[in-house]
Amino acid sequence: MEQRCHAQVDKKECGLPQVRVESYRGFLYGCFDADAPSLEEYLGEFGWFLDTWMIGAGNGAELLGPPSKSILDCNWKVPAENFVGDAYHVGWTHAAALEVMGGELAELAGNRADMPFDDLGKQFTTRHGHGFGVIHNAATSIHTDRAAYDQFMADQLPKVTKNLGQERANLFNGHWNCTLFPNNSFLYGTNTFKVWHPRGPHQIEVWTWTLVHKDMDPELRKKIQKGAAFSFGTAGTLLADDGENMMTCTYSNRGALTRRGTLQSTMGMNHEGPHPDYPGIVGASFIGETSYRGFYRFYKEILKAEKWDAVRAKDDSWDSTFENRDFWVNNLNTA
Amino acid sequence: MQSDIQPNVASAANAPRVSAELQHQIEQHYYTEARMLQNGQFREWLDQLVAPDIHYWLPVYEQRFRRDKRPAPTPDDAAIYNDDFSMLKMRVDRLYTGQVWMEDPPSRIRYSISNVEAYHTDEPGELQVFSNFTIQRHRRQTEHYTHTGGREDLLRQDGTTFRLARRKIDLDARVVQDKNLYFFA
Ligand SMILES: [Fe+2]
Repeated sequence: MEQRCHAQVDKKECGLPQVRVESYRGFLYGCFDADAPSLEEYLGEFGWFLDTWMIGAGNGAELLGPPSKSILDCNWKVPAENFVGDAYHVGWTHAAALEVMGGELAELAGNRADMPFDDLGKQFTTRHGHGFGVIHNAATSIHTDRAAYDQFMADQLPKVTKNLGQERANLFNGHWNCTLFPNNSFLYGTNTFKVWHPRGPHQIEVWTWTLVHKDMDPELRKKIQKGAAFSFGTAGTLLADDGENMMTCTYSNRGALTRRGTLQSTMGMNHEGPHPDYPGIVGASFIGETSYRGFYRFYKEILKAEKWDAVRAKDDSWDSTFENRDFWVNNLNTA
Repeated sequence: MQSDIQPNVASAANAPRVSAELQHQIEQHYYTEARMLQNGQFREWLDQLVAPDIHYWLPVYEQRFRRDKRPAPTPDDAAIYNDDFSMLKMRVDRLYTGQVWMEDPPSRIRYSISNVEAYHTDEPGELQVFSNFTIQRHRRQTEHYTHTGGREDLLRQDGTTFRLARRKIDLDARVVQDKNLYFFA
């Protein structure tokens, strides 16, 4: 066949590009850049946070599939940004779902309650743009059928405390909205785990799995999988609100006038800094933009860096844009 | 055709088809249901046409090679809808809060139901019904989505009307071509 086609291709020169596949605590990630840092180095200090549930009580976590897939007409950074830090959209965007689901989160609906946000959670960002917000003691709160899940979490907690210490035991009980830079986001507690695959600047393909602790029994897994689909699946009561925002943000920002603007991301600026108990930069509240600033700071850095060496050169000084270095020292002393 | 919906349901191959009169009633029932959903009468739909023991199910189907013999999804597997009555009711109640921003202004949805094929089951008064749907969704100025698929229902006769006891939806798109599937197929 090849002879007859006058094929003059050297097949050795035509192989597929190699993808590097590496695992962190059983979660596999791929990378096409041979010069990029190893996965462990790339996650860096964020691994300390991930271990909260990737190790947890010992057996860690895994994904239930197959993923459901859907097309969303938005730029990939919009959902990545939403998950990395946007807690202040919840009360308004999801007002309808929160009201119907009831429970303690119903108070958030429509932003009607005056809440002491600084006492209720924090935000974190580390090297390479990873970040998350945590709402304390709220891990299971989006689930409507959650007695068994609450019991499971309570049973796990002593082992988590023993393995990882008090700070991460507290994080284990919290609800996380998180993005691993650039496009892998999850809600720990709500059990939804997503990858935003860019399909050009104005479209993504969303893949959604259910995130479960490996120690969960089959009955609880089923319940969790149902609950996660109900809230943040492709027809989720909360997901339906978010998709609209993500698409509309992208659409509005394509306008000639809007493109002349700049991104405003200053909420909680200077209410953040290095913290004695946690790696990275810690923001005073889960309502804030500390983790946005970490995400976009790194986005800018890698757009400008010619090579990974230029990124590595800033490994020790990346957080200097967070200027209030004494925020937590002062704050913890007064408290 | 995946017809693994419920053990209770007789296989279509040897089950008797319903009479022309009953067939007509079922088709009319589906048109009424579609019109209710088009009109946003979700509470009426739930109260009048849905059975309290409903299982409303849209499984996640994967695009698979023919040689891939893994079994079809069960209600214990990943799904987009896997709802009982209380979950469906929460979905419906959410639409009445006045705070669903994407439905204000409301989207327009249009159902075409066809290929209605109805069979008696071993259970008197319970019918297994297959149908196809095309759903057109228009939103805002230019958003337009089309969804096609098949339904496998268990309808329970309730006086002169029917109640939906099982609905299994097979959406043709393996990658959903819409920002969400928050509508009732
Ligand atoms: Fe959201």
